Amino acid sequence: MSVRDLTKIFPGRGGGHKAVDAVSFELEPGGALGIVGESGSGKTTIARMLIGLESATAGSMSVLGRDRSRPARGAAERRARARELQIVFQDPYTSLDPSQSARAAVDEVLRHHAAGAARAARADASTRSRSRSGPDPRSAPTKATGPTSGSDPAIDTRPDADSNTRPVTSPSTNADPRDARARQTRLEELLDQVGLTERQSHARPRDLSGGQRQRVAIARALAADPAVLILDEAVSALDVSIQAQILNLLVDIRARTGIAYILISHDLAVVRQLCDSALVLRSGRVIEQGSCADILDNPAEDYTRALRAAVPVPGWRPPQH
Amino acid sequence: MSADTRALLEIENLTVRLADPAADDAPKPLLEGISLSLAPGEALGLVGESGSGKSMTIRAATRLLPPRASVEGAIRFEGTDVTRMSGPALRAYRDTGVGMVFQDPRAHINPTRRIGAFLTEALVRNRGVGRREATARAAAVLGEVGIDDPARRLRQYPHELSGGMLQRVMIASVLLAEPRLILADEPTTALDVTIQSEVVGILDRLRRDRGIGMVFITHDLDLALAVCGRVAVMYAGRIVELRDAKDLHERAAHPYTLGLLGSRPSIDVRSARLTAIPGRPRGAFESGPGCAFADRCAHAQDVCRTTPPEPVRFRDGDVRCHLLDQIHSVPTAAREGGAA
Ligand SMILES: Nc1ncnc2c1ncn2[C@@H]1O[C@H](COP(=O)(O)OP(=O)(O)OP(=O)(O)O)[C@@H](O)[C@H]1O
Ligand SMILES: Nc1ncnc2c1ncn2[C@@H]1O[C@H](COP(=O)(O)OP(=O)(O)OP(=O)(O)O)[C@@H](O)[C@H]1O
Ligand SMILES: [Mg+2]
Ligand SMILES: [Mg+2]
Repeated sequence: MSVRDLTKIFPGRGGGHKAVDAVSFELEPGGALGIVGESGSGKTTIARMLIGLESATAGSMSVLGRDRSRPARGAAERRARARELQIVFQDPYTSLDPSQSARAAVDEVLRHHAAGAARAARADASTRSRSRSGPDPRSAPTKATGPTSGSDPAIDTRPDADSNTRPVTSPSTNADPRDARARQTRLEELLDQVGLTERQSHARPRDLSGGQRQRVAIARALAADPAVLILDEAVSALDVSIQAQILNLLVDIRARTGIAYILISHDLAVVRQLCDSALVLRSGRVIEQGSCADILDNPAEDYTRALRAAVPVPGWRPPQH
Repeated sequence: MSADTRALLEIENLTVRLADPAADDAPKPLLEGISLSLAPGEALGLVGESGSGKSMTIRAATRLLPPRASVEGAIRFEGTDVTRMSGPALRAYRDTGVGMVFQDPRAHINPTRRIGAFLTEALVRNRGVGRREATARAAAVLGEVGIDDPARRLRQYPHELSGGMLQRVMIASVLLAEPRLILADEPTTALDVTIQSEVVGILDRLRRDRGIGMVFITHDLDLALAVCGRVAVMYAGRIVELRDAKDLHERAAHPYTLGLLGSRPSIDVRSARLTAIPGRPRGAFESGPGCAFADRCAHAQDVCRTTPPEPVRFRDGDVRCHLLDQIHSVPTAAREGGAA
């Protein structure tokens, strides 16, 4: 992923509010970048622009060399973009369909991809045929697909891009039985990968714990076989013991699949555990950028030092006034 | 056991059950055998994962339990049994004895009224303080919790203040009532780390300067160890380990506490794998006849599944575990097991 001078100005009094100010970074395949900064520093706004839920005021971004600075044109491009980039937010509860079992939620994504791939093949749209075998759906902002209704990605306030593209139709009935088998295998593989048991995979979201729901959300994101997964405070609300399970899981998945992560978090220890590189954001600007270990061990900026000093660790005492 | 005359808050063998009107079953337990005491000027941490009963414990201490709850055991505030307080005594206790700070200040502050009205209301109504005097006190207390330009803040509405600022307002409102005890339920969970450190710094200073006792609820064991003198670790409605914070940090005893410590990634080094505890946290009503942690515990033996462990003395504190001797004959293994 390559991001150049990404900027977001929210309209408002006095020329508006610059929430993201000329942010640039590179993420190599299989890399892991942490984005840290105080509340309101612009982290989520960057994620929403990357995923297309928010339009960028200026700047460019591309994944695997393909530009995504402009809104996607057409369903095929949206699907292709979804294979490039997926996101998991803090609370998966709001983004999962309450009537759908975990298994059905993940399968839906696989089916959508298969349907899309079949359509693409039929249309013989050789211009954008991309030979990645992954599925796709979700994520990209959509005007036509999905029940989310937000007709303009910029004003869609739902916390999960995923829910945007719940496919309405799926011509899977006349699908090749070999595809159906492959899909079934992939479904079991994904459920297994995120550690959902057979019983849990049949449960509805309300019967799952927060950590289990987060696994479903991660499995759904992975079902699109994305090159990059954005995790926006995706482990912050979890119980400590569950958070450790999910962090181990994310480390395993990256080692196994070569997926790249962008981890957005307040929690510097979580960033250290998962990321190779990091950038520190303050009032929308990158103030420090480099290897994760360097930034945490030798912060160059007072702001980064203050962030780090505020983390309670053994022996830490609250600041005295 | 008789009341400890020096204790500010004393909870003895507290069990809370909740009847389920939909089922004929026996009422299900939410808390089982909670005992703790707090001296003036002391901070006690209540740590545990969701559903372990932290909030329920302080709700019991202020008699704010759900209506169908039954309570056994004693809760004493300055020696007086809270469960038997009459109407006026209970009101006085809630108005001036104890102050509560919650996780989400926005949910507890009326958004349509100015900060000044919010802060002075109780003084004017309950204490008969004149409005001008009340405003002066409110401004002074805002200064004390580190808010600049208090006069301007008093004229603002809640939405004009950030979360951290509003949490300070919440703390200021508690201080105006001059309570002897503060019950803080995840007061910093919704805040980012820099604001969190300021807010806990303020609470810590007030505790020391004014001798206020504080029960500090958090799921962050490191934070509790930093802010509190003693820490109680809760699991499934019970306190499984109650220890001096410093000593707990050096030598945690209960397998669950050790699991919590191993689960947290370190800010200093990346570990190949975290020692995650398998399974998920449970509520008291989900646990079997033995130790509630048995099905997630690497050390569990038959006795753990059949017999609930009683608290046993461990160094300076109490721990509920059948296997302490076995586990701690090999303390280093227990402490570092699986960290690589
Ligand atoms: N739709 C919007 N309209 C106007 N301003 C917005 C909008 N969304 C975000 N902002 C502002 O942009 C800034 C950055 O917000 P953002 O949500 O990206 O922060 P963040 O770093 O993710 O914070 P947090 O850690 O609290 O999630 C904030 O000042 C916020 O108030
Ligand atoms: N009003 C209620 N009715 C029935 N059960 C309740 C009620 N409130 C809480 N419980 C149950 O009581 C148990 C203890 O809940 P409590 O709120 O004290 O947990 P907690 O430790 O504060 O968790 P958290 O970290 O999520 O705030 C939980 O199992 C919860 O499901
Ligand atoms: Mg955010
Ligand atoms: Mg609680």
